[in-house]
Amino acid sequence: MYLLKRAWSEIRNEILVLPSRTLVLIWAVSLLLLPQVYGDAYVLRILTMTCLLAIFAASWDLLAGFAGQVNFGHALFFGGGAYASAMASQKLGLSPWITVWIGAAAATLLGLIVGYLCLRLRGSYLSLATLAFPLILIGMLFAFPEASGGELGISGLKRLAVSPTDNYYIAVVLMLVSVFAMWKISDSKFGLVLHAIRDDEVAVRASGINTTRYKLTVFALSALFAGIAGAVYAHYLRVAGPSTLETALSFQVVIWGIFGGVATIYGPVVAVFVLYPLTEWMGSFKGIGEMRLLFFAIIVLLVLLFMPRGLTPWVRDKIETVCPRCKQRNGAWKSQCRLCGAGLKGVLTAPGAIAPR
Amino acid sequence: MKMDVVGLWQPSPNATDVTAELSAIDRAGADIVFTLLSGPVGVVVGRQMGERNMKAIAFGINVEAQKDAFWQATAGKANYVATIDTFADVEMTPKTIPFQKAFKARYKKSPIYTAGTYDALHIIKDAIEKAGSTESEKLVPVIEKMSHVGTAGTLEFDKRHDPVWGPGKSTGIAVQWQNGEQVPFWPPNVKGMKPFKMPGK
Amino acid sequence: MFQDILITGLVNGGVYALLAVGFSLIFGVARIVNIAHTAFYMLAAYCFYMLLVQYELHFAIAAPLAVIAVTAFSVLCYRLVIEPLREHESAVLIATIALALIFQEAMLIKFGGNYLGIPSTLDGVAVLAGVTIPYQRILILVVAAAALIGTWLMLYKTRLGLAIRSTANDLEVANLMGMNVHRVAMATVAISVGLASVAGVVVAPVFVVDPLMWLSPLVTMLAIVVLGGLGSLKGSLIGALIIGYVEAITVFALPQGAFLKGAVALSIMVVVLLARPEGLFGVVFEEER
Repeated sequence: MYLLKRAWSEIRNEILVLPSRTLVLIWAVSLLLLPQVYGDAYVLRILTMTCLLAIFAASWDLLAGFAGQVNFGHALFFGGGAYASAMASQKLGLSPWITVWIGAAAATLLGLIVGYLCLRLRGSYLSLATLAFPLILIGMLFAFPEASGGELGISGLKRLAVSPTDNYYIAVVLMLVSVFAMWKISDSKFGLVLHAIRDDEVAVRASGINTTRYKLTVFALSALFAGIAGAVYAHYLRVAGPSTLETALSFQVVIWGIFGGVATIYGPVVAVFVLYPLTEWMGSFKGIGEMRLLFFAIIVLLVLLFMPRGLTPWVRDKIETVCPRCKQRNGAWKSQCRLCGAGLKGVLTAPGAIAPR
Repeated sequence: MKMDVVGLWQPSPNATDVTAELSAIDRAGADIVFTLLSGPVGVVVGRQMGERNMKAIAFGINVEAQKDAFWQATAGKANYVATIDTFADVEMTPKTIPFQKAFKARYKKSPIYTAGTYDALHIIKDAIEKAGSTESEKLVPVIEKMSHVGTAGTLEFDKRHDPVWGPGKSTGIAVQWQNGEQVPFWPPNVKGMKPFKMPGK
Repeated sequence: MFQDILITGLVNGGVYALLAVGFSLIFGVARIVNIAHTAFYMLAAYCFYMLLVQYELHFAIAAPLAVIAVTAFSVLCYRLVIEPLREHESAVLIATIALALIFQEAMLIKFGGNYLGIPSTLDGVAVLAGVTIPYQRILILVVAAAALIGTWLMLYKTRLGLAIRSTANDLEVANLMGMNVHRVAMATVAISVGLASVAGVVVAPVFVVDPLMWLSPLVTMLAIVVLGGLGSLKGSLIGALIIGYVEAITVFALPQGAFLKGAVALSIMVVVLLARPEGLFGVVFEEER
């Protein structure tokens, strides 16, 4: 009883005070309850894929948004995880519950390698150089078709679970846990250093921080999450093929990340949850089904023209305001800051408050 | 007749240019290029071989060359390119020509290997009717004994459940592009076949 | 074999150079990573196909018309889509990706997924030092060289060229000196896409025209530009030749691995970057603080 009360007060004081956090809570709870209410296999399948791709998109944001290492070849970690897990499962006959971790470990290793190779690269050089890595891996896989299945990939993998509902729950729980973990990482002191590296690496190094170690760690962490997503994705679709390494997938994740809003972690997740089901849903219409990629691109372009910083920062600024004194966020309807009591609606309220922009 | 393999080149299926490969093939003195091609590279190989006036002949499988659009895609350069195909205006079985006509009338293009699904569906339909069941355990023995006169050939299955390959059974049809026409030339002794042509020089 | 490599590498390098120099130019002047660059090359090829094959125009009319139409269209795209976003670098990046996807899908809907062929401008072959080269390829080389020399003259001998080079050198100072940097950026977009469309038009009769034809040259082009040094025209030119030759050598030295030529070229790029993070001819510019 005490615990319940404690939990409720936590929820009331930490989550319900902010509309954005309330929305996140509603979204997480409805994801968890959905199969109990509406168990359509097709809908569950779309959402399972959405969840896995959301992890992938969020992991890109950790690397690109926070640490400023704008990776154009993020599919390397996704595909690397998928292939490693598939090979371990197929050649060694291990259970997928184990091979997923092998995939994640392989992806982490790839992350360290790429991170090491890219340590000296900056900005656009880094982006364009990283574009090459997944393609080099594809080349290597094609060179050894016995091991990699060549262009057909490795198919007939075991699934983590049989029923659509179980698979759905695996994906949802995995997504909630990893996204929360990434959000915590980005919110920690570690995340703060990453922010600083993105804004001015020289200054960070001058402050006596070993930026090399931080950059390698974030490459490894980001690759780890992308690798888990890729490995689970491969076992869910029962095939690990070259499409998991394609440039198109790398671009896709960049689109999700920037569309949702970079350096937020939740932004890319929102973007995947909006764009992926939307394109699938458009595909079900006869006339426009063939044009869905066209509509996808047009939507992305239009949203950008109106919200150049991405979807979530725009929405957040509509429903919340930043306290001018303590920089904490408040619901847009509030006239006083919930933490420091400063006025939020211009100079009308508390004396001494600075008018918000 | 003795043949030597002078080399093996594996271009990417999406290659837009095979000049380097073709010069290497020229250099190796090949007479026949045994193609195993799927994807846009099939068009590129056909066209660039023609443009270079190569003395070697392309022979094998080239999925793009099965399509009507091949001649346009190669801008008319792919004369003498030969490939294995599944359908043509020849009497492989009595059903071939009617099927070919009906397919063209409905889809405004000639069928390629993918249209072989038509025979597969008929086999499974016959088998289900005969076995009176849709269970695979009951269907397998029925299909094992079946001899189905399909649109592309007569289909029977061997012990390993592969189609029996050979004249009179199922072979596929070899076709050659001759001045914008896809001309069937093999297997022999089938009504409608025309002669294979060599580049005239 | 040696002469084969020499000539094949040169011709391929010429096409790559046309693409890479244009991309490098727009990056240098406006800091735009234009992913849609090769998509304009694809548009030019389709436009040429439409004019030449569907409307049966003469080659000498169809080719310039296609180049002009695509160049004008690119300026329009720049004004409508890129310019409003210029302050947000990441938004510009995905705007160009989105543009490329839109072009790809639009062509898929208009022309279908078939591979289309364009008749050669020049038929026949020349035999040079025992190597067979179709005239079309010699034409490509000549056009590429002419376009590149033209660009060089424009950059170094005209006032517009001076404006472009100074804007590339320092955008803020150029702006303070009273140059209309927006105009300069627009002119650069036009030149850059103009080069890409020239490449599209001359290459179309040799390659296959299809809606996905922009992807593989995109990656090669990016590798070249990074290899040579971002924003450096000399670097792009030499990078293009290096990659052209590396690909040719791969095919001759490793016949069964011809499909690996892309991966080998990319590996070369990675190796160069490890040794010289700013590329072969790149300038180390201080990151803006």
